Amino acid sequence: MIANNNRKIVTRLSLRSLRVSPLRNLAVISAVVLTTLLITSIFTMSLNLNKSMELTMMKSVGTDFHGSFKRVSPEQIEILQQHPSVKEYGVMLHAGLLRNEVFRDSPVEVKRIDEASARHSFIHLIEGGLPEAGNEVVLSTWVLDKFGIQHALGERVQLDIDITERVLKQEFVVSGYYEADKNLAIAGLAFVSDAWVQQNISGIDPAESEASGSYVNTQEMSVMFKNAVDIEKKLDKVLADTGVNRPTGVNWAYTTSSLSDNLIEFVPYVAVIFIIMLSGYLLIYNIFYISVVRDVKFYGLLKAIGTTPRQLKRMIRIQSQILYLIGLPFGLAAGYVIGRLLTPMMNTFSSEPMEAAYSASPWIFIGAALFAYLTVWLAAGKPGRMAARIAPVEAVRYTGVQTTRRRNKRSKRGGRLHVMAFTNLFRSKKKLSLMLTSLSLSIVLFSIIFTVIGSLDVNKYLSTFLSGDMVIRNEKIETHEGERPGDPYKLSEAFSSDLERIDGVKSVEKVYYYYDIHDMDEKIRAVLQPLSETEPPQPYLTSLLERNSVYLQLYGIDPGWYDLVQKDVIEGHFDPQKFASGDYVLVAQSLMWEEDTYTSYYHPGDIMEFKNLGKSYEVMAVMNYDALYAATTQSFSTYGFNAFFPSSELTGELPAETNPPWPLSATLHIDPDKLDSATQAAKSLAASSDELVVKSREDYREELDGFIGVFQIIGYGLSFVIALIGVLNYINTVVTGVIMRRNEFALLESIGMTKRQLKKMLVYEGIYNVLLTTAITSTLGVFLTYSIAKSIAGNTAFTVFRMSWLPFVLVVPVLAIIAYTVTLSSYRMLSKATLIERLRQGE
Amino acid sequence: MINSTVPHPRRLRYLFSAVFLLLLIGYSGTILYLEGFSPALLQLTLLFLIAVLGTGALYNRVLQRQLTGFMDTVEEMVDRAIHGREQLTLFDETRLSSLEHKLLRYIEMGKANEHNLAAEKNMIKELISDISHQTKTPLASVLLYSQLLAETPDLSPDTRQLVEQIGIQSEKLDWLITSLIKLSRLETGMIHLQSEVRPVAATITSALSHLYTRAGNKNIIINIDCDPLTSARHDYKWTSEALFNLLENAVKYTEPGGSIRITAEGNEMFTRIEVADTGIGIPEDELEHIFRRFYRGHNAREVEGIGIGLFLAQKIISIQGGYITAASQPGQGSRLTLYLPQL
Amino acid sequence: MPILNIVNLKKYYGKDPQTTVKALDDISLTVEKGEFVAIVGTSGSGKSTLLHMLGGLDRPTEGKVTVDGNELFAMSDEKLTIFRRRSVGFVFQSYNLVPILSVLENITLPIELDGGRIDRTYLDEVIQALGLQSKIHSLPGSLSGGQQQRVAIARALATKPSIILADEPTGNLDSKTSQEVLILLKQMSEKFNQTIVMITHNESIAQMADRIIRIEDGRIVSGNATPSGARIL
Repeated sequence: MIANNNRKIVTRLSLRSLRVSPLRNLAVISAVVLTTLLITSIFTMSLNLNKSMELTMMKSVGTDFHGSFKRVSPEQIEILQQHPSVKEYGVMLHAGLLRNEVFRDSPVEVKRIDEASARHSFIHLIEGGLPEAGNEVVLSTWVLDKFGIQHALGERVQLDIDITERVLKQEFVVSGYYEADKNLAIAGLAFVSDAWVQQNISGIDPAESEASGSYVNTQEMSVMFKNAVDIEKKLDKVLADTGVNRPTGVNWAYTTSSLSDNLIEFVPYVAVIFIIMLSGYLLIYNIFYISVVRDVKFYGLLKAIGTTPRQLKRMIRIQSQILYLIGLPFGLAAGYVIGRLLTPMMNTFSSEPMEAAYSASPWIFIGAALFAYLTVWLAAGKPGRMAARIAPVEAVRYTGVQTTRRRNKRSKRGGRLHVMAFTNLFRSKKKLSLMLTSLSLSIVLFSIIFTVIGSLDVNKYLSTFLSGDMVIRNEKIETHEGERPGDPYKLSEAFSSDLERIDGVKSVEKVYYYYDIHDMDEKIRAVLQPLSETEPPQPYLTSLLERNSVYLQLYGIDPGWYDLVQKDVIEGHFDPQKFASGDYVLVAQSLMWEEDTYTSYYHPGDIMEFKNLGKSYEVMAVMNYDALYAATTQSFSTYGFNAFFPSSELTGELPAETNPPWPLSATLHIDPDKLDSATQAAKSLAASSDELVVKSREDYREELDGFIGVFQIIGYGLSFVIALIGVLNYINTVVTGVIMRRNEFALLESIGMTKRQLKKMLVYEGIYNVLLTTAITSTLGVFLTYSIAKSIAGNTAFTVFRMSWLPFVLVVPVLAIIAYTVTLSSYRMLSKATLIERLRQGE
Repeated sequence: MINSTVPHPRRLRYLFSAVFLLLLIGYSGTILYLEGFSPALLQLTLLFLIAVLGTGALYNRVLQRQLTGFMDTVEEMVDRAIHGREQLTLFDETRLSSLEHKLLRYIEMGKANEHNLAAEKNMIKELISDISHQTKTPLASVLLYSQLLAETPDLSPDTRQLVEQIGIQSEKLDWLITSLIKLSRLETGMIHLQSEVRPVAATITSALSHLYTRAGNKNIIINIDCDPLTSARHDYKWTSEALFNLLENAVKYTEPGGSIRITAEGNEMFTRIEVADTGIGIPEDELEHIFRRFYRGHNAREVEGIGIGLFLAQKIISIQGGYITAASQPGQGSRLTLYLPQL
Repeated sequence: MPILNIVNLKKYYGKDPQTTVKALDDISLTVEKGEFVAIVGTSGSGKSTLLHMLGGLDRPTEGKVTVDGNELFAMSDEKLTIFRRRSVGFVFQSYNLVPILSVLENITLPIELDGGRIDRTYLDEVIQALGLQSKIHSLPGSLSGGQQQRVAIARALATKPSIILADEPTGNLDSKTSQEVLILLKQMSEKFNQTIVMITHNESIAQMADRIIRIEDGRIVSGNATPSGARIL
């Protein structure tokens, strides 16, 4: 009853013990900092990534409002905004569409918005403010560009606003402008003032315009709730509570961007964290282990005087906790900074271009601190238990008689140092195999990563974009939303002949492009119909089925491309000669709505009818959905697919209604000697046209270098860390081993072995260790590295497998040096009096 | 439990209770005010208050119980230690165990002291025995030789006087040593008195028997008034000696021609034996001192005596559970009364 | 009343019968409360091993050790340690003091481990008696061997334990100091009714004991296994 209040003395003993071993403290603190740093940076990066994804999503949607009420009247707005769960709201009024000629193919909506809406729609005015007068307007920079107007206030612009019943042409003054990403949002926006609305469209009845589908003068009220949980339910509740009955909309950015949906994505993170914790654990455990083993006499004395096992355990625990607390803030801070710095690099890995967003959630720090604490707690636990179990008689034992004799090997050759060393090695099979495994593992991992990184090949990467040395593309064709002005036929025959005539140009391979609205046939229906019946109904699919068509991209390829076909073939076999005959088509897989799902409607042997080409073709082979990537527009239509024909099929006779195909690109293969001059000539030829863009290998290479650089940093960094951990563990094991055997050494010395002989024996042991490790790594290790690295490199677009021998070659000398130095220094550390004896004089 | 560095516990309790109540009421009041006095909220708040206060009170009770329980355990531990029963705790890492160990150590040390004292006492007893043994022989020799010397013929009157003196003083010495040894034996409990209920008449007679001659020499009349059935619980031999001392004093301090009257009477609880003389008496201010060791009254200076007699007598009687009183009129006589227990 | 009772104590090292070292070879011994027993013997005779067993520092191969009614090796490690803390005062031959604590902290260590109150008056007496007043805040590293020994003795007396186990406590002290320390020990042990078991090779010190036990090759060769009557002052 009532515990003894002996905490003070245990704390005092712990603190004093800390004071006498600054080196050990430093080591533990470093380990803690390292572990915390790594965990924090991982957490930071993942949270940042998450936030970036969210932000990007929202920018696509156009707003970060949680939800909205569509087509509400001013009275309804008044009622709705009073609801307690509506924290913030904004109102947008749809005024009409811009009918200016420049916007024929890229719609721009005209709206009136309030300040809240602007804020939540990522509209950050570079200059100016929202329009107030009836002739003021706010436009985005790309709209200004389309008009050819400067980005400045006060610029005049003529806008043709279609309010359904008529088109109002009026001159406006730019009162403000903002930066917008043309490709991210679905439609462009222009903002007019309330004054203009009152003047021009206030008479229009919203109910009528809703019924007619023009939605002019209808208002949409977007709201923010307390959080993004169950937005739909919240919206419905507001409607129910207020009695208003209007359609609602949910910001799908919130529902689709949660990480928790795909738990599988978590696995690599968990694995990495586990590895970090494991290494941290091993490091700290070893340090404490050595510390306890060195100070056995000290703990023995404490126990003899009356320190219970529990108190001894607490001493170790307190020490570990203090060191943890010291190292924690540094680890957290450094980890956060590194995580922040690395985030942009992580962003480049994702398929869509993402803006980096940063999270400073306290959970990063709390989580990292907890994981780090767990590591420290576990690591100090076993050494604590060891210290607790020390027999008090150790205090009085000096060199001591060997209390447990192991099996004494009596051999006639015994006494020769290297034989002793060899036998010593196998004394504890378990320890030996453990050490060999961990060391070999580190080396193998290191070499795999090293090899893969070393296999990064720019050229291979380039070949996905570029098959020859230079490519001239017609940009006009590339984009679908909003078009650039220009001539899709710029890459004409005349132009190609000019290119061919350039000195050094070996060949010009062209690709022709046709956007085909293709009728669905039974084969396509057979795949799509069942899909449409699954819940929830996919609106796009439904509309396609209603229209009974899919959108295909047809490509006519010059013979120069034929070489690249085979590698993308999944089904069937490519025969260039047969293909050239013009009766065949190569079909790529279709991209489905769900990510990473591809199906092919057709199989080799099927006959496809292309009405717009006026011919039927037999499917020769089915290819990857992104086959001949370099030849395509690099965009894919959902539920549609790419189809490849010989160029002649597209440039030849076509039905009358069909527009001639557009020459998409011309790839030049240049004589290496004339590379520079030819490039120059081609560039100057293309310079005259706006639509044509020239890119050479060099240009791509530059783009790529940065990308590869990132890979290399991370890859080499990771492999370095792994190697370091392996080596550190090895060092720890050696040092521990030496210290543990000090009694044995003393005994050996006492029966006549000189210090020199002892040192020699230890060095032999180290060398044998190295030899064994080398044996394993050079056989099994090489095999593993070869097979694993090869499979990884083979599957990635930009690696060419190159076996790297460097790691294996390095192993022997590096390990040998380490073994030698560590063995000797730990032995020296032993011979020098231990901590205890150093503090004692005159005995 | 009241330590000067710790504030009064009860006051502390009141303080905390007050703060606690204040916090509860303050919070509830604020909440009610902010959110409006809706009945649901009111009910909830009331329920909450009751629940919290109830839990608090319960907790308090539990703590109190624990405290008393702890004190009970401590008491039991002490009892066990005092009566040598089995230990309550055995090397636990608790304050109770630490305390118990301390207690037991302390008791053990006390017992050891007792043990040592007992040993010392024994030593003293043996010393006394040794003294008495060792002095007997030389003293006997001295007495013998002085007697022999006294019997030598042709001694000059001066020498004879000197020799007489030697004899007298030797006897005195002898008696002194004997009395002292008796005394120490009594004091160290070496002597075991065998008390039994028997008639006091024999005891009185035995005490007198040694004095008849001397009384006769001084023409002192001795009267005895004793019912043969009067008895008391006493050790025959030793009580006789005590009586003897009283009687000897009476004889010593009464002039020739005087009388001594001995009366014995049994009462409810005690039996009285009174020795009344017509001697020189004891002054009032000395009465309380006469039983002291080596005390000699002023008047008694001229008479022989050492002053141990009464002391010894009192010792003997009090060991038996009785006591002696003295009354006196200077010049008229003294009356010493012995009280012995009846049963 | 016996405070120490050893029955058939054996300590063997090694499993191979040919190479077994018999540190203690069947020792039985009883010590009374308050006795001062001196153990003598040549080096390697097993006296240190015996002393360690008495304090529960080391476990025997066979045999029982009962201290004040508690069978030592039937107790858990935790309880045995607490027993040592409260009931035994150790003075080792060397390496007695915890190097990271000051002299005073070393002396009060067993008390503090038990969370007990420190009797400053008594401790001051002991420290004075051992002549350590000027060194109480120093670290053991700065003390001479003799001073360290005296600190160890002070520590052994600090908790007024029932038993004091000393292994050559006066080994580093000069003869005069040795005598003084022994007298101090005897006085203390009488006052607090402590039992002293001391290993010594110094004949004059051994003479001060109530009983001398001689050990050779792990056995008692002379000196009664049971005490001879009560102590005489």
